Amino acid sequence: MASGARPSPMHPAVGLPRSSTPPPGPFDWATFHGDSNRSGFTSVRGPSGPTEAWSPPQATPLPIRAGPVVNSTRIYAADIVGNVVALNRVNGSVAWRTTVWSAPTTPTLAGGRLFLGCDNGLLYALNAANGALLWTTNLSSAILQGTLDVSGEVIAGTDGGKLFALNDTTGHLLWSRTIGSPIAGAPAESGGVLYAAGSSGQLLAVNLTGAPVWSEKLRNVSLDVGFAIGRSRLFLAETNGNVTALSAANGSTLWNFSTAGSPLEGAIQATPATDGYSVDWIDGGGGIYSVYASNGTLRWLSNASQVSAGYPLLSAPVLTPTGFYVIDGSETLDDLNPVNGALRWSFPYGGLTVYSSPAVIANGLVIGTDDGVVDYFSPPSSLASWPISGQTVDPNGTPLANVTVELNSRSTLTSPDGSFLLYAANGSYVLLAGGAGTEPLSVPLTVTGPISGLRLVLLPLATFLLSGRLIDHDSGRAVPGASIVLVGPGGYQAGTLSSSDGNFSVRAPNGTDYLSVGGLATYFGLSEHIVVNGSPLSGLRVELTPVGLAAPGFFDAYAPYLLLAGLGMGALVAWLAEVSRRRRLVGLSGRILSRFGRYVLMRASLMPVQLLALLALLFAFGSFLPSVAAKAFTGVGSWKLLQDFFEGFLAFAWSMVSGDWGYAAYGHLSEPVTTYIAWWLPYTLELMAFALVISAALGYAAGLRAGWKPDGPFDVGTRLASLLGLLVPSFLVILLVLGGTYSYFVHAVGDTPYGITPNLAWYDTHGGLPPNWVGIGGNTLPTGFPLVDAALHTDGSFFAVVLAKTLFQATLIAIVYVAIFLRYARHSAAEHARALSVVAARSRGVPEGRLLWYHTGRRALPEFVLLFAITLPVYIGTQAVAEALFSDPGVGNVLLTEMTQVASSGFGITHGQGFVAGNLYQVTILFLFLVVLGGNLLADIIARYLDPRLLPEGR
Amino acid sequence: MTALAVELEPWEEEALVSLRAARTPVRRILRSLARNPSLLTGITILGVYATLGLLAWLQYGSGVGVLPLSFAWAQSLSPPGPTLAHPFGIMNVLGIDVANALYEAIPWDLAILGSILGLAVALGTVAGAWAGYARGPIDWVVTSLVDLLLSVPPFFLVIVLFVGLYNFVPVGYTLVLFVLLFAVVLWPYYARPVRSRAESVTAEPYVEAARAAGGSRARILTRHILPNSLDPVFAQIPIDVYQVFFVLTVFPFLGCWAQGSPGHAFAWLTPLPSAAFPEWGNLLAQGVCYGLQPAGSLNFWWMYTFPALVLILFGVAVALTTDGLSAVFQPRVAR
Repeated sequence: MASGARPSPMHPAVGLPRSSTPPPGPFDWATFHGDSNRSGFTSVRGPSGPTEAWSPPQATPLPIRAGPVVNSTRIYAADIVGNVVALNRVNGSVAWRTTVWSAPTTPTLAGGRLFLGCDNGLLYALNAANGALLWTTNLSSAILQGTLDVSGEVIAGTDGGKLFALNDTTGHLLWSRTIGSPIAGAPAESGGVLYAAGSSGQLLAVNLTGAPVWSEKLRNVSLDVGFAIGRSRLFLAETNGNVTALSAANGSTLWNFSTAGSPLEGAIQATPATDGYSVDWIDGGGGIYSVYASNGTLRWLSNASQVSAGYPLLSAPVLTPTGFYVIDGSETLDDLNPVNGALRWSFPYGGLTVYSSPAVIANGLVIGTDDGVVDYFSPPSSLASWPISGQTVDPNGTPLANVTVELNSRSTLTSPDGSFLLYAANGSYVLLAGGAGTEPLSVPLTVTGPISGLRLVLLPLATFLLSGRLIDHDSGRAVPGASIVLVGPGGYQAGTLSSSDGNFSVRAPNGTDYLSVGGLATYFGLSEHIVVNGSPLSGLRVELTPVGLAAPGFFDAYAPYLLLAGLGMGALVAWLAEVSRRRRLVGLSGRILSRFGRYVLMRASLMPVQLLALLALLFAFGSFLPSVAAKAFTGVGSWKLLQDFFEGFLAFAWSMVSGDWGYAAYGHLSEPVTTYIAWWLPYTLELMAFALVISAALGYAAGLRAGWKPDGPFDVGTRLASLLGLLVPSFLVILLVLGGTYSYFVHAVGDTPYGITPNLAWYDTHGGLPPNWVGIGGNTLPTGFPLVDAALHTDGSFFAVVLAKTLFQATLIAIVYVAIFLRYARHSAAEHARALSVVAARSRGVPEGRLLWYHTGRRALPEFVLLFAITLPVYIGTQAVAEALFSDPGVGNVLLTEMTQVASSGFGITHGQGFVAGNLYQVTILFLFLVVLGGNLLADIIARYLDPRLLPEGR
Repeated sequence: MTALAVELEPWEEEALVSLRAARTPVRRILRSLARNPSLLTGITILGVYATLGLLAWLQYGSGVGVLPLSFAWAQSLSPPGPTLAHPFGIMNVLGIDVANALYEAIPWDLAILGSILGLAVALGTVAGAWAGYARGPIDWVVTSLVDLLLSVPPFFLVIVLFVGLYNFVPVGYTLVLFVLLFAVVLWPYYARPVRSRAESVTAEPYVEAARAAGGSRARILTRHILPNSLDPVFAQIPIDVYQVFFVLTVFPFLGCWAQGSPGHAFAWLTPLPSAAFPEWGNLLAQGVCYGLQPAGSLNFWWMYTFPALVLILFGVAVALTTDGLSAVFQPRVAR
């Protein structure tokens, strides 16, 4: 949805920053050109000579032209008819074999799945462990180069010029975008933005929901390859031999490198490789280029093999810190020094064509050839990846699960029986192990071959006793029964309850620990930061703030008043009962209040209930559900969820009701939420007062007049106008009127219609500076109502400008709103015009005008008032949009801004210095709700005062 | 004619025929259709929309949500206006043919509005009529719920609910969530007037009579209370067409508008799966946003005029139909 406006559910808004996919290891070459950047760059060192790791078996009888992909255990390759083979990386034996019946492109390996885009338009997902087909989706047009897996989406571009995103678990289509010409190159991704290029130069950047970020069109180009991305720059090789660098942010061209005129000029049909400092590529003339990524100037041009190949050079080269691996025009694999282009070594294939792009891993390079062989260049001494296995146990020999074991920056978690398996090349390392509740362990380890049966004994974590007492902040009394949870480094966790005298003790490891206290409905939860430094801590004093009324301190302080109030209430009830009894004695009804009085009392008593329900709604949808979504249901039981809800709601409702709203960032301001409300609510109320008065006058007159003669010309005209007003969105009406009257307004008033108070330009002609009673929020002092304040400071010209702007905006709002109001009012007026009393009055010769405005009007008025109340929420929406368009600093504008912001960035994210997004929004809604509620209450009471027949039946 | 047959006066014969003819609601509607030009016009226009929608659906199949984009148009600083090839002109930035986009949008808009209004009307009328007829605790529950929901501006409410829930919904299904939530937000607007109408209808002698004749609750509700309580529903439907388009239009508009004006901080918020999604409100929002750029100029009038016209014509058709239906169901207030 929200084209670009919603956070991906894959990235929890709140929670531990744990990436869903582990960082690539030394043996990972998971997709076309190595990574989602399509950079062709890897930070590991490739092979330093043409030594083959194992004697290459023929994996398939047919040519392998797609690039292989590699992980720590396997090499995956596919031939031109779709035979897919997985080889064990250590010895080249076949792990599994399957077929997908169509020529695949370089596969993508992600989350244990192998994704193959094929030239029959099918995208296959295989289980990487056994080759079983998981799903297949028809993209209806050939996939020409690699696929991509980002955040649970498989991305593929097709010959039909469409970019598709599929759910990588199910294969269901998430979205697609049309580019307009075949997507010949593999789509690339960087920073959550996908980049794809159409072969005739259409460039498209979209986010992971498919919403466009930018689009560009390069003129007169033809593209056989996609982007390579390095350090926020996109590099694009054109078939004509030029290379262009573009900004990843907006697609603007940064530089263009042309090979025209060079002796080695030729088409570029293989994606360049880049490490962000240089861009390196080979062209069809056999020229190998390296240019600086920053400005596109030539770094070096290699003449290692200036042979024009008899076939296109499709193998995308790979750059490492020490080598640049490329298949040249003489069917030779070259390794060039990336600094100066000097040849380090080469391996001639001697007439055997190689289209496959190499995969480079630690000390190794894997490539497929046209004779169906998967070549693995790697010195045998460092064939590496010896399996290192063992078990973690505690001093008693009990296996320890979920311990992190790390070797040579590869890590794993031990399984329930404490076992682990890692791979390492020959060399000396430090093996690290550690988990929750254990002391970290480091063991030097020299690897010369496979190691098994390692036994790592982990000592329990040394902890120190923390003890202290929970105290009520207000009364100083002990707080029993609170839950205390200590969270330490490395996932350490311990908990206890405070005793009846408020004491607690808990063990904590060295380092920085967090002590959280909670679990009591009567106290606010608390989290404290405690540093343990090798010794026990005692005498901690933790003060808890009681929640509202339930706190004992309240009763202590107010008990006498409560007692008095209780006695008073009792006396009142007794007195009322006595009055009622006496009334009945003399034969009157026992009810004391009139029907009207009872109605007002009943209606007013509904308000707190409605308020509570709204608070529950705001909390549930605004705070609770988003936080649940962010936690993604990990280990949260339903009972705990319920408990969290009620605890959270109590705290939320209390802070909302008590006015403890915290701080909020809005635009460049960061103020307490109360300040924003104090600044800007008066603006909204003032504008509302004007707009509602104008609306009422317009709506009353037009509604009555239209209902008087249904189907008369006035009625038809009104209906048509109201329909137009209904269906043309308010902002279009406002913008069109604004466009038509802007210059007249400026001419007449001397200021633009934007805002409510004068704009800065106006002050230039009226004294230079805003008066000192205009605050930094554009608010006026002391009341906040600009007209009132201008009158208080007897500033006539200020008053005139504000009045003109307010009237202008209020009239526009009224026009739009009355259209809605009229649809209701007309019906009611039509019925009252036919009432017996009106007919009777007419027969007595009362003039028509008096019949309309006096007789019918009086009858219809109560219903109009009620209709007004019903449409008040609609009115508020209209005013909010008007405020936004006029850049008024009203709460409607604030609300719209906050709503869209919150929807795009999520609730509950802490911005900057502890500002809570969402609280300004929730408070604003609360205020507008109170306005609606108060308006409804007032309207209900007025209508029933005017027409007592609307009162509920008395019994 | 048998001997027992009573000779009828011609006027009696005529009255009997018309009485028979009017006995079934279908016939009654058909008959009133002929006498009710607004209903006829409304239904005809809606029929045209439905036919075009069906055609678009058949023509584009599963690709109906994906607009063909042209990058040449998207980049154009002076996008072409209406021509024979592109009768409603071109919208730049998005790079779409306005006529084609509006056409592809028909099945979506009919589905969105149809589902929202269908659900809301069904839920609102049944709950309202039931509450007004049954009274007691059911009435209390329905009325309190209605009062609560009605006291929050509908477009705030739908966004609050939407923002709270969309994280739980797969990416492609936010529109479904939006439709469901909007129905939840709108049903009280039907339940409240229907309830009060049903309350007064319940007191009518004919309901009393039906009850005395032993009619079951369900029968009284469906045969007597519901049909006679529908009038406020017809008045409300066009207003809710507005409510739905308000949300579908305002939020994409603000998101788009903010991009061009540094003073604003609106993020892009819409339930639609992509910015260039064929949906009238969305097309109108972006048409206004891009068509009125630079602000105040009316240069690219076709970008907002045609989407607005399509929307207005649809709204007029709905209003004509509901006005006509209201006359059918309540001939006393017929104009």
